[in-house]
Amino acid sequence: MRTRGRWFNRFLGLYFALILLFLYGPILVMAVLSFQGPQGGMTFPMRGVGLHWWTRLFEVRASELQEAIIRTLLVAVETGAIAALFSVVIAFAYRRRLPGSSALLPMVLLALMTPGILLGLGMSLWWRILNFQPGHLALLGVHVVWALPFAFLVMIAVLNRFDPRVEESARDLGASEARTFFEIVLPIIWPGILSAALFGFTLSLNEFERSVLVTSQNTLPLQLWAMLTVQIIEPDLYALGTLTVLITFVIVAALFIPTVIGQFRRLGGATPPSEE
Amino acid sequence: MSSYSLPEAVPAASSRRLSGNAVWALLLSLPLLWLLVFLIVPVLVVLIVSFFQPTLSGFERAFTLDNYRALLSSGPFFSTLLNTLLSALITTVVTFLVGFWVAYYLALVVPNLRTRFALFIIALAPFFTSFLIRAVAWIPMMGREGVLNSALLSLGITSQPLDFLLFSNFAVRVAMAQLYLLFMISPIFFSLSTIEPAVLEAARDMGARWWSILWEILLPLARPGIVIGAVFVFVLSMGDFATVRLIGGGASTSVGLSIQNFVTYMQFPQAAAAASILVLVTVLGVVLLLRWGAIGEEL
Amino acid sequence: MTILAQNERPADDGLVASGQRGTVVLRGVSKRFGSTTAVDGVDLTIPGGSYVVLLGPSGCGKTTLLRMVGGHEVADAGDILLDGVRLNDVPAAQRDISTVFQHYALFPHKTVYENVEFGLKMRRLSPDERQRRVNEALAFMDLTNLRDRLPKQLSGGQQQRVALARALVTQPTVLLLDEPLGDLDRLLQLRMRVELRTLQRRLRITFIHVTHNQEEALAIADQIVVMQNGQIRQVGSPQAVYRRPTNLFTASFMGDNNILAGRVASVDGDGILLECEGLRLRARSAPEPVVPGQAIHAAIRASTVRVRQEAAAGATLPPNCVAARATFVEYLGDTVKLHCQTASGLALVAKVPEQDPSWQGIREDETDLMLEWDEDDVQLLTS
Repeated sequence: MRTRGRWFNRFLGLYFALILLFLYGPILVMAVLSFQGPQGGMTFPMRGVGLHWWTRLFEVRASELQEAIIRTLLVAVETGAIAALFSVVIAFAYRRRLPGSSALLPMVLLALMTPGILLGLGMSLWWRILNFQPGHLALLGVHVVWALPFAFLVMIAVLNRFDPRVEESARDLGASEARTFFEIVLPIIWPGILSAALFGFTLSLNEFERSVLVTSQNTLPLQLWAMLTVQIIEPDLYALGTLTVLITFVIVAALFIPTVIGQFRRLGGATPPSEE
Repeated sequence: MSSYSLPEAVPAASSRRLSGNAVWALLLSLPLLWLLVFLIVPVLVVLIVSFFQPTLSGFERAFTLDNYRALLSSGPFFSTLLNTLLSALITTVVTFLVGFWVAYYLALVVPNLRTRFALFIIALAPFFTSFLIRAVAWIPMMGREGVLNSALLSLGITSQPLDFLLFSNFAVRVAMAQLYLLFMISPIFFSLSTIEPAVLEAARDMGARWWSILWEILLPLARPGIVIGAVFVFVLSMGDFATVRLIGGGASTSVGLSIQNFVTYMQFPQAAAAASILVLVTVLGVVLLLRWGAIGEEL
Repeated sequence: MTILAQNERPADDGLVASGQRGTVVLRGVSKRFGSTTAVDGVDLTIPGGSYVVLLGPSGCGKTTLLRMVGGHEVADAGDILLDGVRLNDVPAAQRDISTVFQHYALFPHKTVYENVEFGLKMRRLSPDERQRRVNEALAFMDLTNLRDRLPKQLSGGQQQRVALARALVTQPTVLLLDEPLGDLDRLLQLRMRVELRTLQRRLRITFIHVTHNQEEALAIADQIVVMQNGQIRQVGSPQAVYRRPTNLFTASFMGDNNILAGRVASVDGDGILLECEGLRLRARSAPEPVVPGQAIHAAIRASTVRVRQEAAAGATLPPNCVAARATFVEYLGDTVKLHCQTASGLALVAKVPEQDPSWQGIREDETDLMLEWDEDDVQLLTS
């Protein structure tokens, strides 16, 4: 029984590796194909290997995409900042059980669960009724709605590890509410706030479903969508895709590696499984 | 309580607390307002507009049920709705069957906490990348000349490329399962992580074999995570249109895609009606899922 | 009572206790985790129907030893036998042994009834039989009115009774308990240890109980097994281990011992004379033969030290007698602990009953005291 369990676990390890292949495989294939030779197409075989499509991306596409890239980054930065700010407020209010926080929680959940196409449609109709031009504000609005639940989850996790007695002792020593927050609480939780902001930034950077009906000005994913559905696609698209994936991975690594190491330190390292 | 406590300190603190609460109320009103303007009202607007009269370039504010009547009496829309529902159900079941064992492996087999979190984040990372890019990446995998077909051909499993691997319902479901898998793995992983290893040991001590442990201990304890994951995946795949468009080509349909098409032709009330029907069916599905989850809680 | 039946029957047949089932024998049992040796060549015989406590500090290997008996850990070397049958390769579930896990490990989603039923269900007993036995076990542990509660709705003591009922319903011949009182508050600990002992007397099966609390071990055990660094340091009745520690570790771990390092001065027919840090001690005997000049430790239990309030009369005092002053009088309620210092700077502790007049009026660092003890109370720590 024990040995069979071991075999089963080993099988599961193999299975997990296969799942990772399933998750990463397409991305890897895309990355490889972005190094197609100039005559190469969208699929294998490789007709030569080179940086042809990458150069094309930076020389030809870049100017075409420049506006979209700047717009995307701007919205992403704003989304990250606002989502982080809101998540701090909601998480603190929720922790202190302030009135109103209980009403916010289902709304945050709704924000998570509302299909993107529905929100996008609603936003575009609502702006049409108000006779507003679809644009930056509407886009930012739905992006924050999308990023907020995730930022909130991050903040809840951060605050769960934050000892409320630190706050109490600061107040006990005569610090005002505001001073306590800015001098004691903020320095302790700011890495968490930064994580929440980065989270929001990444989600906004890659957001497509909510944006597509909301704005007439293209963001990078919207431009991609247009290229995919209207134009004939070429391997420089793979180069662009690979680039965005790489940027995202760098952000994810920056987000999680310190958390994981911190977690590990807090727990004082691995303990042998069976001694008391 | 001691004799040298400062009596004036008490009112000072309480007044500070009061003003603090006022500040908090002000701060809280910001996200509240934001969610009202950019979430609640848009959703309500969709419901309202679905009852408006369509015009050539939009809608006029006159109540009508024609949008619903037209959609519900239309065979193509009905089959689109059924196909969407079927895809969502299949995706939910497949992600559960595939994802449960990933969560199981991470939470219960990987012994070292650091490795466990590292592997979890490695599995989680693709979720953050562009959804579109990941959909695009399926094309060289699944196409007629794609990696999968080449592999099948060179292994001699098939004699000619399989066409259903791209631009088909099958391809759409595989791609959706891949795109949404992490929404299933994460909550199950967190549920399973809370199980004390000693509980499993106790079960084994009392003679439980692995299937009994799975059925009697793991599945019931993971149920909240499974329900949350299932709701996530179900809702996401019900609303999907990008995967359907990119991977399905013209061969697959979804209500989300219909909505997008309606909007392209400025048929806003029809789009709103289709979206409302979609929401209704989705909510119904979610309620059923949650009820199934709640039954487990009561037992 | 079915729980009792299995072991009552032999007793009713008039069989003596030593012939009873549930005898566990360990021969050269070892277990390593990576580079650390958790259990190092343990030999031990646990008689059937006895209450044995494995006692030691955390990390001493007691839990690992228990888990090997229970089948949750595989021994690297040695034999584990139950009633003469080698158990090493028998899966946990097929051993006639049940475990009450540390923190109980109750199934959080199952009711009390379902928790207790689980083991019988896994053994594929008929529903009628299951119901009968679960109800009996619940009644036996006084849990009948809690049968439909979930573990989180129970107090610590109730959870422990559920864990016991769950382990006993399968009628094991040996019950393993891993820190069973660790999660309870002190008052409940005191009550539950009496209940555990009573339960074991009623069941007449072997209990092997792991703890790091020496007081708990003394109160509950027939035999105490003192462990350190994966090895057994001493085995004996509570009285033997408490009064006659044979080694330095046991003496210090059992608490309240004055431990002195010294040398054997002379050995004669009546006893052994020692020089310890400027103090002369006389002991009646040693656990092992000693020779003059041998380095040795001696232990004197604080409660065997008598205190008199008087200054030293002569220049030389007889052995087992020393002049000192109290640096601190620690009042503990039923006893009073006097922390003393001799003229040579040696620290000694005496513990006297609260009612004893000898400590009354002692002023710290002022009153001259004579400390005395009998040669029977000087324990030589040879191993």
